[in-house]
Amino acid sequence: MAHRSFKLSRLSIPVLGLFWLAVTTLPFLFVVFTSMKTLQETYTNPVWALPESFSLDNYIRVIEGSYLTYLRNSAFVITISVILIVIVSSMAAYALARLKFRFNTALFGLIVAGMIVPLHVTLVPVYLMTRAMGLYDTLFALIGPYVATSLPVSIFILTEFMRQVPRELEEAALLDGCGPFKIFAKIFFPLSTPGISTVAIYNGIMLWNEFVFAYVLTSSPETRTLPLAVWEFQGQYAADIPTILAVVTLSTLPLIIVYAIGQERIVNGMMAGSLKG
Amino acid sequence: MSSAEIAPTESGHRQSSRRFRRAQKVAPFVFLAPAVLLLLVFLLYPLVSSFRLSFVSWNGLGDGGDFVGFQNWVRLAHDTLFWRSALHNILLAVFSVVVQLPIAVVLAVVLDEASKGSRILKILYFLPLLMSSVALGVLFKNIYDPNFGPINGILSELGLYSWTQDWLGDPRLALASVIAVVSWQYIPFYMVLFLAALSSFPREITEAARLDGASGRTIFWRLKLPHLQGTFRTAALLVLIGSMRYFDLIYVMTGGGPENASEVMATYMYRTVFASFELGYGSTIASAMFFIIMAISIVSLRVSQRFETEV
Amino acid sequence: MTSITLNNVEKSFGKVTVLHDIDLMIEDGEFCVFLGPSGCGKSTLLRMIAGIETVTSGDLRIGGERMNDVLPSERRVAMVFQNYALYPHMSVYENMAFGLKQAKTPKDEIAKRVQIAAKTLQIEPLLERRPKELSGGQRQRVAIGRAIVRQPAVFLFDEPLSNLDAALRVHMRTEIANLHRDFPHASMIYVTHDQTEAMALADKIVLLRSGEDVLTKGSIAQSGSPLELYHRPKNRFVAGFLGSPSMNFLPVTLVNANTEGATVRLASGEIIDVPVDARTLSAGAPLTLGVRPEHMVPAPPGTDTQVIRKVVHSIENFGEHSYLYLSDTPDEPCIAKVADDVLETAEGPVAFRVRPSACHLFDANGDALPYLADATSRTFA
Repeated sequence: MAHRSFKLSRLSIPVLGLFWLAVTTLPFLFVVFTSMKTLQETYTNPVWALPESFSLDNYIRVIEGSYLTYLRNSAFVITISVILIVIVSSMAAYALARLKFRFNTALFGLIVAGMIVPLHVTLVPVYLMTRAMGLYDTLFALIGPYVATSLPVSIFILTEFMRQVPRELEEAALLDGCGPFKIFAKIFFPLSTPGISTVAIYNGIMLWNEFVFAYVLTSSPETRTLPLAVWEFQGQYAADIPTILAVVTLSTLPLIIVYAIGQERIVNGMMAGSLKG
Repeated sequence: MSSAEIAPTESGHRQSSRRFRRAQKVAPFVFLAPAVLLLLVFLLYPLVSSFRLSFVSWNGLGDGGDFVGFQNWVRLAHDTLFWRSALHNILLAVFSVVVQLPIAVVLAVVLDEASKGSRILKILYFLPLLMSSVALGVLFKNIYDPNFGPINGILSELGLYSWTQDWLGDPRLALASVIAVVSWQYIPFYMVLFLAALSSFPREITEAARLDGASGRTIFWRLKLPHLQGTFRTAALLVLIGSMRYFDLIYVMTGGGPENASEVMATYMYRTVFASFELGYGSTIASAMFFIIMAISIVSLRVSQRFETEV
Repeated sequence: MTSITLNNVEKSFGKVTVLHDIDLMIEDGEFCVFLGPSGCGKSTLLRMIAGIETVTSGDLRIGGERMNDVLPSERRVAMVFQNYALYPHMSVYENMAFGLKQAKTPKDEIAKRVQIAAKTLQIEPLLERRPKELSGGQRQRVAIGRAIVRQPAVFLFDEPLSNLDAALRVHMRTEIANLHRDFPHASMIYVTHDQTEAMALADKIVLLRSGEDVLTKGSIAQSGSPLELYHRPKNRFVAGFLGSPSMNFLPVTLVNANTEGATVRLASGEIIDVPVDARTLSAGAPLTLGVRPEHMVPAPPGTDTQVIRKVVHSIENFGEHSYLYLSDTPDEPCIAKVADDVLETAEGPVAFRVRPSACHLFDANGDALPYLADATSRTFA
């Protein structure tokens, strides 16, 4: 029997734990160390050797190149998209969770079903539409698709969340003189902060790493986002492995920094987001 | 100031009541309009438009192309490359379930048992999920590199020169190499999922079982694993749907090659549209993808619902 | 001028009628308690007065003005909710000020009112805290404070004490009674399913019934002062609902009736006089005799008149009183509540004396036969 050999003895737990730690981190160490080597070293020294001089030259070159443009583009697109996602989805979620109107459940079902639409089905029409609207190769081209594709999951999460808000609070606000708009702005929106932060974290990370739309809807380096930096540099520095890996590090670095600040929140946000998706 | 003084008159009551009722009536529309509008423009319209384009032959120039009826769909039905791609999606799904989930369960158990350091391990394990597929693809392309990559480097250093391979360049290995990277990235995700399920396992039951003389192994196989059943189904569903639309990593690492050995539906669709400029046929592939995913979603939801009612 | 009147008020959700034929007048400054079993619609009635639920038909007037379509915030009512309904993301001060802010009250006026209310309720040190950081009793006070600052004509309480532990409940009950004293011109309506609370607080109890009788007899089973409902119940429902343990109901037949009262015979043969008017009924009519457990007094040996003989099946001693269980069928319990410790009883039937004035008679319809003596002029023998 297979499970005979599977023993959770005192020894196997740390061994397994450390083994997977190695599996996870070795590629990262490979990137970091290699990115500090010179091109010459990668040809002459063995691949696992430490860099001779831990030099940051590759990084400096990349940053002095167009890295900051990509970073700024990503920050711009993601900030606007996430703000819009939060506002639009929390508004819709409030209506779906609490307002009475015809087709409420049907509409909710349809929106949730939107989660299974594969992005590739929308790719060609969105591309054509973007060209027609004259937004092709601008950062604004990305915002519409980014917000829209994030809405189903966000609305789903926030609707579930707002359904938990006690009805009594709504009634108390009614007695305090609030109409539906104030009840949303003063009660539901502030009370949904945990749900909203889940939505913001999950979508922020997914969009930060988004590739296909950015690849198809933009073309020039001035309008491209960080995931494409790697792509572009890879073409540019074809055989310069250390420099390419420096780009890989730099493109991942912003998220790692954010992650260092709030790991638990990010792990939980990512889990909640993907589970619903 | 007493409340009587600031109390509005009767006609004031009527006015504010009318205003309130009007607000109540328009509120659903106002709240839903932005979301519905965005979804219509960027999700529903493209979906329908894609389906419409699947009946058209168009190279992207001029306006709209020619209507060709079911020609694209007939072509799709006979397109061995499409079916091969779909098969690769299924292989990706099956291997993901078979490889990722068991490893994830084991790691979850490890973290659940290892009280000390489990938090820090969890945080480190999670790192791959923060990487973009492009960064990940470029990274592993370098790791798999037949000449300068560490895998072949270490193998030859160990004297296992015959084991070295062109991991991504060999049609027999390309898909497996890609699946390995996908697993590397996603195992931590499922691990956290299982870990959450395990930590919700009631302590009293473990303690009661201990009192009844059950060994750690029995507790795991007889109590904890059955407890994970529901999570397992959720995970399998996620893997399945995710695998059907997988794109980024494969596109970056192999572009679907060599010799279409790692082609999946999405990469095939992408090449058809943006390399061969067959917008119509590309849309046919995309629509087919959508129908396949929809069918799988519906079926698996049905199945898992049945499971839930039975259990 | 803040009396509340309900005329022929009705409430239904879809096809289900919850409240039927409600006619009610709550006087200026009166403390009125809506009491009833769960599902009787007492909370719904309160929420209709608040404006959270619509009135399906009938008239609701506060201070003479028809309020059916007036916004909740303009009815000059304030409500204290069962779960407090404090806004978790606001401080105590903001919670209390929120309604006034919506009404565009000047800032210094808000501050003044909140300070005064906080002082009255002794929650001044808590003003900057969040509801999460408060104990149950403190939250309750803040909820009351939020009501006070609005200077309402009517205070509405929806089971406000049900989430507190027993000791605190008694304490807060007194505070609510004090609140009534401090605001003599505000009417208060208080919903509870706890009859002790109702008896302790109410000027007037409105007892609501549930079930099928609602449609035929109306939702209100009886309304009146607590002692009136206790001593002069209008029907079996009211008689059985108030008092713990519940009133004993025994089948009897009418022997004769005159201006002095009625004489009835129990199935086991005992004869009981009851000072009610049964002259419309003929001898032999089946009736139900109602006697409260505390009015079943063990009779001195040799007493023969006005006694009920029952076998004691089991005894519970509580120290301050004891329950004697006199029925072997759990569906028709019969209990005597006696003041002394009872350690053993005789074999065979024991005689219990019942005062005529403590007896009630109900006809087949469940209605009480009219009492001949006024409740207030009752003599306590």
